[in-house]
Amino acid sequence: MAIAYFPSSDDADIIEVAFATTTGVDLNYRLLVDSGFSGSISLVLSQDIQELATIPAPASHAYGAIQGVQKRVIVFCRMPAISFQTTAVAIVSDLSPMSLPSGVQGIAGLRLLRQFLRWGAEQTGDGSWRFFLENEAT
Amino acid sequence: MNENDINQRVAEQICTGFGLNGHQFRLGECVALLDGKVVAVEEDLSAAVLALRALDSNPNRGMVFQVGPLVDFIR
Repeated sequence: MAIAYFPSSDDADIIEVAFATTTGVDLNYRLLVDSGFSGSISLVLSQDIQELATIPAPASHAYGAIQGVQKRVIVFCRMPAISFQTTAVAIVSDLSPMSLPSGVQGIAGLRLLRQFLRWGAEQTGDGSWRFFLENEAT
Repeated sequence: MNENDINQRVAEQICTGFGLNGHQFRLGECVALLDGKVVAVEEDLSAAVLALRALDSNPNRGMVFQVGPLVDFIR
């Protein structure tokens, strides 16, 4: 099994995902883990994604922390360390009202997490927490 | 109405009625549209993207989606 670990902050689990860009060089985004959002989307990304390679997807109607008609796109993301890659649907929205942790560019939802064999958080020997994503063996 | 608007309208029709011009779509199927026309129906998003880009490499054209409600819940 291939497992990626991400140090948790005091109040959030954050993962790092590489996105394909229009230049061909991947761009790493830090994403807040939030299994509480569901639907057809895997991700919510900030509006500042001009560099990412995207394909238009139909706008949707969102309820909850983000509301109303939302722009959506197809993005291409991967975690090379655990040989994971996927094509995912993302809402692109103004995330400033959500007060995300500093340096976080979006949210990873349940649909993305469930593409992994296992996912979750665990306490390490020194008492700190880390989030993990386990992919199938390659 | 631009190409994206036309595709949006067709996507809404497919996702709410599961049909278009007599063709039935199943929940979860992945559809690629170009100029408001269905150009591919695939089992996953990656295949639909590849089919679309084989027809038109312009990243701003076309639309890809999975058939299902166009509703998202962000708690």
